[in-house]
Amino acid sequence: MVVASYDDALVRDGEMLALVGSEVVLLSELASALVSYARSGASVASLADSLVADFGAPPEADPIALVSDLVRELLDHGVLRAA
Amino acid sequence: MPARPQSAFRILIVDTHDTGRAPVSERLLRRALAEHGIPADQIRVTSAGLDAVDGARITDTAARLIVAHGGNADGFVARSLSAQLVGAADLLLAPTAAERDEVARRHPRAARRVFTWAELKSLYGDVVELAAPLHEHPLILARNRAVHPVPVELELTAWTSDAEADAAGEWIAAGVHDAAERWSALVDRDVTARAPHASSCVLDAFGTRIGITCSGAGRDDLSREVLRVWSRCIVPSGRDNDAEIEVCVDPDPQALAEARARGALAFADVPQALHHLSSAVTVRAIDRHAGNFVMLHAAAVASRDGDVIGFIAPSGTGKTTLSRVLGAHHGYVTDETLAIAGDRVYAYPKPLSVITESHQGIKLQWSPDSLDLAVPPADLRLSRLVLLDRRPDGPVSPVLEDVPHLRGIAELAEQTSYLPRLSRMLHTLSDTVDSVGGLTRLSYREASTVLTVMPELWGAA
Repeated sequence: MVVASYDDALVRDGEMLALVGSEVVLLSELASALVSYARSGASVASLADSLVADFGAPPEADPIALVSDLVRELLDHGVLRAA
Repeated sequence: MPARPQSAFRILIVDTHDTGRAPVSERLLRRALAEHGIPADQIRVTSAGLDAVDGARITDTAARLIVAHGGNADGFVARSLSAQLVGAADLLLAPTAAERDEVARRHPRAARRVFTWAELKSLYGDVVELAAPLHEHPLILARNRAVHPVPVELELTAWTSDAEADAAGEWIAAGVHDAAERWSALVDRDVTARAPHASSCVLDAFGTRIGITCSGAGRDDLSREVLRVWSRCIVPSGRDNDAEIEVCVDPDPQALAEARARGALAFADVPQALHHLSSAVTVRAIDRHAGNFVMLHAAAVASRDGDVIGFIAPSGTGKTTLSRVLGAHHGYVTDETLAIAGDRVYAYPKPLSVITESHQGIKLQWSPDSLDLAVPPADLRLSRLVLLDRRPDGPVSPVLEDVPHLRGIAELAEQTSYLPRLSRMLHTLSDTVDSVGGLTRLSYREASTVLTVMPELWGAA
């Protein structure tokens, strides 16, 4: 389970700019959607389902693996935290 | 005037075992900071080891080095590097690139806060002057490192002989002294006692009153130069000041040591004192307005009607040069910090720092009056914000382009002091940008060519 963890965020045209401590992180549309779905906490599997529903299944790739990589990157930036 | 921020700047020194290089660095840095009158509650220094055994004792050689350089080796015990220690640190320092990289590998969020000692010195040397609160330095330096990586030249590897240990001790002692001197101008503290026969004046930096006390054998020369180069910021004394700075100029090392111990900035000559005073005044004012003003790393000029255009860029990327060019024709507002409250701009016509060949990297301070820069009207309103992109291979004729909102805010946020303390944080920045019709990027090669696009910038304002 992960949950969104930022101090402030701006959303425009589907993209999100998040402030984490003193650092800002500009998220892609996919990452912005992921963080939105994780606002109240979500599992990687449920995030993958939500993103596939919104963006379609990734060609020739496992959505769970892709979402896991993205979640790890967002955890490293502090935009998500383990719940 | 709000109280200054009280949180300490936390430095964590990391090596492998925390029994040799790290404790020597920790104890000698603490000593150097104390010698510069910097209280331990302003800069905290601790150490830890990547593979340290908690509770292990310092090596005899390390203890000998600490004592040889005037430090206190008592009571030290090693600590292992934990996520909690890393998370609490504002700046992490490692002796070698391998140890730095291992810290970053284990703690990815710290990657932009961890540097080698040699890297830190080189990055500061490239910037020359960093007039930003100390808490913001790691990110600023990390951004510079991302653009211009520092080659690995000097590594403080674990010593294997007494001779190597002695050399390491010398190197650490010199490094911590440089760091303490650089940071001492930026750390706010109460000046405990005024030196006898001191000369004083009061400067206004975007609404902050800062009392300047000149002391030491060179006080008369210093006082005269302060009055000259800060000519546009001098205000009448007689009211309470928001901050006090004592600057001592004296050729006698003992006099300098005594001045530093009482919290003064102390230097052997006037140009060095003026150089550090400029950063000190800027950072004191920024500290006092944290949470109230939007404060941008930006140069700015004003029209005769008081419309202000801000030119945003990191330190050391051409703001002062551009200010000199534009200020000859338009009112000089600042070359360093643009302070905004709502749509109102507070001027900060500080001296302009100009590097000269003869002073080995120390910038000489020039009064805007000496440079004959135009004086802006008293009431100033923000009308345009421009992100500067100056490159040696940039367009010969300057190019203006609109910047997508979020991308622009992301860049602007990196040049904003104390953004997390603004009540609405990113939303305040966003409102400020919206109030001037969005952000514009200006790409150029030579500052002199920017004059050609000023009518377009004013016209859109």
